[in-house]
Order: sequence, then structure tokens, then C-alpha cells
Amino acid sequence: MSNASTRKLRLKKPRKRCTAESQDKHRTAGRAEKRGKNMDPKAILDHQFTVAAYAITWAVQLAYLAWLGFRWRAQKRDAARSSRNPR
Amino acid sequence: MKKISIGIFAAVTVGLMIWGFYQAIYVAPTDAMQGELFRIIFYHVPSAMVAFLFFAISLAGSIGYLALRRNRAEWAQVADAWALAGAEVGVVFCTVVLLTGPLWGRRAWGIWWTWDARLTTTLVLWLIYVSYLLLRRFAAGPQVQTLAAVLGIFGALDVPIVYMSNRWWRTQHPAPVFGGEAGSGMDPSMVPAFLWNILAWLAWGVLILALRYHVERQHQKIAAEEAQEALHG
Repeated sequence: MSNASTRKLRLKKPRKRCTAESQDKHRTAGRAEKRGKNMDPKAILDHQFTVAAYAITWAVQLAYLAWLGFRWRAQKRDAARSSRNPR
Repeated sequence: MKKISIGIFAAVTVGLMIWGFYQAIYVAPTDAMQGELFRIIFYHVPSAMVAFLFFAISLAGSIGYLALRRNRAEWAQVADAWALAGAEVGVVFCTVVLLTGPLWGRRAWGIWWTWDARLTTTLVLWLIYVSYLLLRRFAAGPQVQTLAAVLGIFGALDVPIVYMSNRWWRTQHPAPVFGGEAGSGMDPSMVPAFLWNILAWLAWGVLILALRYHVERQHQKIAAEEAQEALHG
């Protein structure tokens, strides 16, 4: 009996007006969802594995490029030294 | 002029990489079956394609070296530099394939690795070319380039086996997406992102291949000068 009355009361409750404060709350909730707070754990793991794959790819490629750059510079230095001091 | 054209190509490559990343993350729709995880395809498959292409360049360079080493020494050195550059950059891309694949497999199949035909032949390919690079790095003597060329040719024989492995045998690795059986293929909305990423990784690969070739040619010239100086005192 009391449940029915509370349901009635709840139904009758006037809807909150969309104020700036409530809009802020909605925005914060949206951001939290984007950050993964309310996301499905499976989706979070999928996202993390995808990020890891992309990060590893870039780490390998950029590390190789850096190594190649260092090698090139070292070789240029050696070539300049040998041309300055011929045996 | 040469420096300007290299700079323009590098700038275009960086632009393509950014555009490819944007396409892969923001434009391509989420896969209905695999969700976000599917986006690994935009780095995994183009890396495999570029690795195969560069191993083919290494094969051509190795054959060229063996064919020209007696008659045209200078051309043979050019071919050898391409063989080495192709093998090394190919190994870099193959490493990416072998690292991103298990990450995908762990979420999609529940395992990091399985000894199925596709995965095993890819690992063997990587090991052959790593041994090629180790031979080039640590062996000495006049026969090193010849031995490396022979090893490079045998290594390239594994490329068609890797490519055909999931057609010839039942594998844990998925059946081919492109050029597979009826019903295979990618949703048309995902194809542009995939093609942009192939183009981007190909441009990146060509850039570092050219740089590696240049470094090797410089190394050959320094070694030749040192040998001349040693001969003439």
C-alpha cells in the first residue's frame, strides 16, 4: 500500500528544470564515461590492448629510426675525420 | 634539390601517418564482433605487407649481387646494399607484426601464442632474417656478402609459405580477409582507413629503407677507401 503511494508520489514529482548546474553534472558524467569509468570492463581491456599495439608499433619504428640516425651521424663523423687525417 | 625532395617526401609521409591514424581511430567504425580491438588490423596487416615487400627487395638485391659480383663489382655493391637494407627494414616491420599479433590474439582467442602454421612460419621468417643480419654484423672476410646473399635467397623462400599458410592448412589465425574464399572481405566503410594505413606505412617504410640504403652505401665507400689506403700505404 505504502509502496503504491510512494510510486504515485514519485510519478507526480515535477521534473527538474535543466539548470546550468544540472548540465554541468551531465557533462561530468559524459567525461567520466569517456575516461572509461562507466565502460564495460571488456571494452576497457580491448581499448588498452589496442593502445598497447599502437604504442609498441611506434616505439619499434622510432627506436629504429633513432638508431639509424645515430649511425648515420657517426659515419659522417668518421668520414670527415679520415679525410682530415689521411694515413 | 635532392635534399628538398627528400624533405617533401618526409613531410608527406608524416602527413600520411597522421591521416592514417585519424582514419583508423576516428573514422573507421567499431567492429560488430571484436569492438575496438579490431583497430589493431590497421597497423598489423600493413606492417606484414611492407615486410613481405622489403624481403622481396632483399631477394632481388641478393640475386643481383650473386649475378654481378664477378663482372660488375660496383653494381654488385649497390645490389648488396639494397639486399641488406631490405632485410633490415623488413625485420623491423616483421617484429611489429610479431608483437602486435599476440596482443590481438590474447584478447580475440584468449592466448598469446599458438604454434599454428601462420604464426610459426612468420617466426621462422623473422629468425632467418635476424640470422642474416647477425651474419652481416659479426662475420668477417671476403665471403660474407656471398654467404649472406645465399641466406637471403633461402629466407625469401619462406615468404610465399607464410602468405599461403592459412590457405593450405587449418590455422588459429583467421582466414585471409582479402583474396580469400567467398564471403571473406572487409566492410566497405572500413576499407578507406585500411588503404590509407597501407599507403602511410608503405611511405614510412620507403623512407627508412632509403635512409638505410644511404647509410650502407656510405659504409661501403668508407671501407673501400680504407682498403685502398691500406694497399698503397
